[in-house]
Amino acid sequence: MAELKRKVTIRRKEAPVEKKKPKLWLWLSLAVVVIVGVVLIAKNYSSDKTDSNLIAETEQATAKANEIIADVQSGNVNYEDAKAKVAEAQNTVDEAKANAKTEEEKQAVAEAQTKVDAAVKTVEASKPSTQPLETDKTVTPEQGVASTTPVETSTAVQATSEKAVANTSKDAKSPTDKPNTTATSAPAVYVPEGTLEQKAKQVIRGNFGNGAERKRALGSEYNAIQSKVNEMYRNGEVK
Amino acid sequence: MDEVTLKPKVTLRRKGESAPFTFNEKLQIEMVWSTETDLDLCVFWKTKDGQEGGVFSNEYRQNNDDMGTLDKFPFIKHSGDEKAPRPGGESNEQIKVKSIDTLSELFIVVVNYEAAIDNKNVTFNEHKGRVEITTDTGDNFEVPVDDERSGHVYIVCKIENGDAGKKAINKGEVITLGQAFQQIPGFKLICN
Repeated sequence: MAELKRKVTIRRKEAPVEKKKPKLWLWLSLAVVVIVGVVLIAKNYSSDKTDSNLIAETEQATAKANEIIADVQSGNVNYEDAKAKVAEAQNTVDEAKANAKTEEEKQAVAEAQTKVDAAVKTVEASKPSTQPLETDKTVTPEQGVASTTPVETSTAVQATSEKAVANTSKDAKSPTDKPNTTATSAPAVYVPEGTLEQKAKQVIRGNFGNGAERKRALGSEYNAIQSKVNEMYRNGEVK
Repeated sequence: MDEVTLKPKVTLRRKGESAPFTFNEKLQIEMVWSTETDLDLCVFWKTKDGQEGGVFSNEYRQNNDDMGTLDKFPFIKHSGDEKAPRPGGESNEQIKVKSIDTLSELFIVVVNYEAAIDNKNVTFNEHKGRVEITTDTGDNFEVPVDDERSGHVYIVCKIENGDAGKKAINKGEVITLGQAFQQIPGFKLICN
């Protein structure tokens, strides 16, 4: 007896094609490749990405160093406080240096270190000569007695700070016109010539020493000239 | 310009009634029915060199080639299986023919699939079905599928492609699967 074939509904246009079973090893290989790729990309991305916090820390250290230099030069801070602040800034730079990975981070750390080195020199230069030198490594014996010896040649600070010293001294001091900054002998009161701004610039150059020494040197004009010095720092006229 | 006249629609009502026809490249066979029954329109043939074949729903053998093609032999194409129409509506299946030059005879057949599978005792006249044949030369025939005898296979009509031309003949035969297997060339393709 004839029997009709049973129909099977075909929903697709094309004839049913037997599906090939996906090869497990192929999928595993693909998965491994994808995972490795993702890991490599993530690693590369993380190593290339600049740490904004680290950059910010170096900028803070640089700002602090500038502030210290300004305070020291304007006589608004004593030696011990300035030294403590410099140490704090140096710690910040050291920490950033340890964590710096990218070129941008290393560059920022180097700039901060330069500025901190300059602050160190400025602070050390302001050290009262009546006090015993705490860091013989940083100041040569000549500096205590020979007031005309340039800072660049009298200090033995780290090699990396040489450039900073040069930069700082270019604006602030001249090896030849630097007055005696020691307190071994009280300088005579000398009123600089010129306008108030010219007088302030001489003060900024370091012609009249720091702190009490400067106050004595400028005598009655100290307040006016110092105010001008402070104003110039505030206005960013002094680099 | 010659006046174009539409040929009148011819209804082959009686068994044995025939009508000649011509077509160039388009002949359409369409079955329409309105009951909730799965009827299948099929065309089976015998070629001039004696080979048998057919076009029918691809669901019998899960093979799209069974629906044929117009681009190459058999130059006949089934539109696809249509199940029962929605209530109140009509369902239809179509078969398009581009050429029958290599065929000697064709059988237009309707299978009541559900009844055949379930071996139900049914008749075709309850489905209000009909087969319409139209050609690109204006011939238009209608053959009712309304025989009252019970059976699962309805041979609606036979097309003869002889030296004298093409001719559609109302066969009006309701037969069993076994009889169809024996009598209709190519019918065995949809049988186990």
